[in-house]
Amino acid sequence: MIKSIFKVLGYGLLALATLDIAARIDDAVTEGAAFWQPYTLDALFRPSEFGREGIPGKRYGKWQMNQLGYRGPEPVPGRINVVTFGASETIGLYESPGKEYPRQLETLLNANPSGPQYNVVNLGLFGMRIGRTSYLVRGIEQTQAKVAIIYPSPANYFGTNVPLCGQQTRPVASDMGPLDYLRIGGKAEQLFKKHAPEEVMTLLRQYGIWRATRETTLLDRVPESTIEALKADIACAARAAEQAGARVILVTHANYFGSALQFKDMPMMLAWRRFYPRLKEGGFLDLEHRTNTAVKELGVELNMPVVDAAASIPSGSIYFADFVHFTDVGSMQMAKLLEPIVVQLASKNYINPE
Amino acid sequence: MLFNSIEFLFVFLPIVLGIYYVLPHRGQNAFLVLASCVFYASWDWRFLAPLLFTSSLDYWISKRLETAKEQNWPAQRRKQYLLISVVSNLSLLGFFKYFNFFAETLAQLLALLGLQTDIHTLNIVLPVAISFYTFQALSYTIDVYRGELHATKSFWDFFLAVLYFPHLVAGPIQRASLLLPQVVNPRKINAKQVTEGLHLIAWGFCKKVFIADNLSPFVDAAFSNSAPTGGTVVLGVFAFTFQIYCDFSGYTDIARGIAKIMGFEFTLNFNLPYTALNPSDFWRRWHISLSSWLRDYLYKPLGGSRDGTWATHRNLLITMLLGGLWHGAAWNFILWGLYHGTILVLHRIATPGLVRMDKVMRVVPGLWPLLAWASMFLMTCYGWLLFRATSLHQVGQMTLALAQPLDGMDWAALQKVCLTIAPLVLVQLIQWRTGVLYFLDPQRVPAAVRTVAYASMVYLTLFLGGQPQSFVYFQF
Repeated sequence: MIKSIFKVLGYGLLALATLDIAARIDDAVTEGAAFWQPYTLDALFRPSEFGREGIPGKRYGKWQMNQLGYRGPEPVPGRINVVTFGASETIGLYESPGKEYPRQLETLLNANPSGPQYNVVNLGLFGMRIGRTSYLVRGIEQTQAKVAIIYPSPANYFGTNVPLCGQQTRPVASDMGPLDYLRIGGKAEQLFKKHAPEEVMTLLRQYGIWRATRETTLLDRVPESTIEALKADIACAARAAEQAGARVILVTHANYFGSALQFKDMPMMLAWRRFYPRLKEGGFLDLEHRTNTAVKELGVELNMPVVDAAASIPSGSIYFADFVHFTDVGSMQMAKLLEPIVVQLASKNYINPE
Repeated sequence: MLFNSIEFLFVFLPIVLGIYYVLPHRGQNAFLVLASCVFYASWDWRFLAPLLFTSSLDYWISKRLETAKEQNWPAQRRKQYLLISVVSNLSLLGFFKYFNFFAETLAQLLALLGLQTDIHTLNIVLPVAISFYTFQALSYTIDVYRGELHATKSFWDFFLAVLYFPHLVAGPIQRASLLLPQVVNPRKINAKQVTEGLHLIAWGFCKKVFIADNLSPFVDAAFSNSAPTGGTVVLGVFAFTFQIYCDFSGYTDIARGIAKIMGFEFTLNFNLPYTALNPSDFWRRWHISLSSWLRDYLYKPLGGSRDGTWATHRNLLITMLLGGLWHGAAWNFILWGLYHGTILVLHRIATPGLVRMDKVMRVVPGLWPLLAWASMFLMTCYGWLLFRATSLHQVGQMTLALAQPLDGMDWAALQKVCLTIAPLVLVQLIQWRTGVLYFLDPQRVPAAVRTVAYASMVYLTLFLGGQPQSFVYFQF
């Protein structure tokens, strides 16, 4: 009996090893990935004085870092530089390669070959809070950027009551678990997410939320101190960018749902809530609304242009691949909103309508 | 509901197997009728009507034929019953499959003669699998008429034999003489059958999902190219040669595998067809259930090879032409059938010379079979061009482009196609060398090797599969 169990286990391990080796060969052949090293999105980044930063030249799937450690191509010398600063919406998640909004913005800006030419340098980092100003300043200084676009991701401030700006940043170690070293695990997860029916995914999310919240108090809305912290960080980042020599564009945060949550969008809301289970569904759009109000107030206070992406990008699946991340069409819409303001700021002809 | 769909694999099949295994024999049969109806109705429940009509008619006629035999009715009367079955089945098939084709062709012919006609085509929806189940039901009546089979007493047994979901949609076309006894008698399922069935299912999915579906974009690109070059045609036809084989044989393997784990045995439908050395050899290996059906129910009744050389050639051409037409109502299928008929005839004519050549060429061992194999493979490939083309104009255009076969060749795409078919080539080399199709037979292959092979198949299927496509033969 015991011998049989060991036999089955042995063959199970052999099958797992075969699958993992097959995954490694697949990655090596199709994407040029190193055979032995971990190959995940997380492997694009390393701990640094800014918390985390991109590893120059590193690649994972469609994400290719340039020699400065930012997603996208190498900046072309002699062009006007623009930096985009934000989280996953900025670095790009679901868009086709080269279709994240910084790239689409660059394409629009350079559409006229006889006009001024631009580099749009994508400083986006997954999960980054906008108060990580030292990272922004370094990006501006590295590129001598004339314009900085600040696109805050409010949900990253959930659970925070103090601004990040001004705090000592410690290197953040990679959060890769042991399973990340097993290449087949990530692939199996992606496969499941791709093919599992939406109803099953919703059930799993509901279960995950229930498990995470059964012993905690739920919040109807985030406390005001969170909004204050976020607002302080946006202001801090904007001022730091200006001091570093860039003119700043603030952008309100757009999402899949628009201004009101509809019943049909509940599965998508659950997909979002899974990351922040303590906040009830209604609290998310409230957070978005209050953040965007704060952004607009800051625009007036700091005399900086505000692009109201929240009001200008329609809700729904044409523009959003999930709750906040753009589709190719959505990122093009974002680029179209930004392009005229960037041109005006870069040519120093911008007059704030306020 | 396709075999490669989530609902089939994760809902339908587990439920069916789960219930099937706990039922007694008669319960199993009744349940399989129900499950097969659900499976077939998942396309369109109305499709059940012609299927029910065909099955009822052939059941009734077979009963009459059996009575006629027992009571020594005149041969003429028995023939009349057979005729009713043949005419009804073929009329049904003809109406659904060929009405519009012949109506349009007639209108075009009359227009060529300067006669304007007002022939209306009908908005006919072709019932899935009609070509398969019509042939299956027809063979039953003919076998009973010939006295090779006794008519079954139970309609439901016969209905299940026609309707049984693994073979219903795209074969293999099961002879009633083989399938009915398995329906009527209790089935025993042993571990060997289950292992072999799972092996067939795994390899079938790998062929369909990894090879055929990944080749599909190359084929579609080549056959939608309005200005094809030699290179695009060679690439497209080469890819289609393997796409259609992996698609159809993959389906068949899955069907045979599912049947096996339920205790049924289906006939072999493919036996390494691309290792064929001549056209006759090819048709003994490709779509065996159809080619043997055509041989037994068309070629032989036409006279087969009994009435001299020219009659044999005529019979071959007619059989292959109708075999081509069976695939679909289009000129390219007719051309494909004629092409294969012609190369079969030419091969028969050339056989004495080829035998002499074989003796001469034996000085270099292996050269003659290699030449025979290569020429047959190239002829088969050209046949697939005729089969896949969407019009006779395209056939001409692509054939002309073949004059410069490497012109405009996308070498990177060719490399991808070769990489995609590599597992098939490897497996078939093993099957060809060993002469055993069950290439992971536990009796011959160590467990560790089987584990690695199955895990590799799972990876190729799950993680490297192409964009899901319907099975090519579903349209027939």
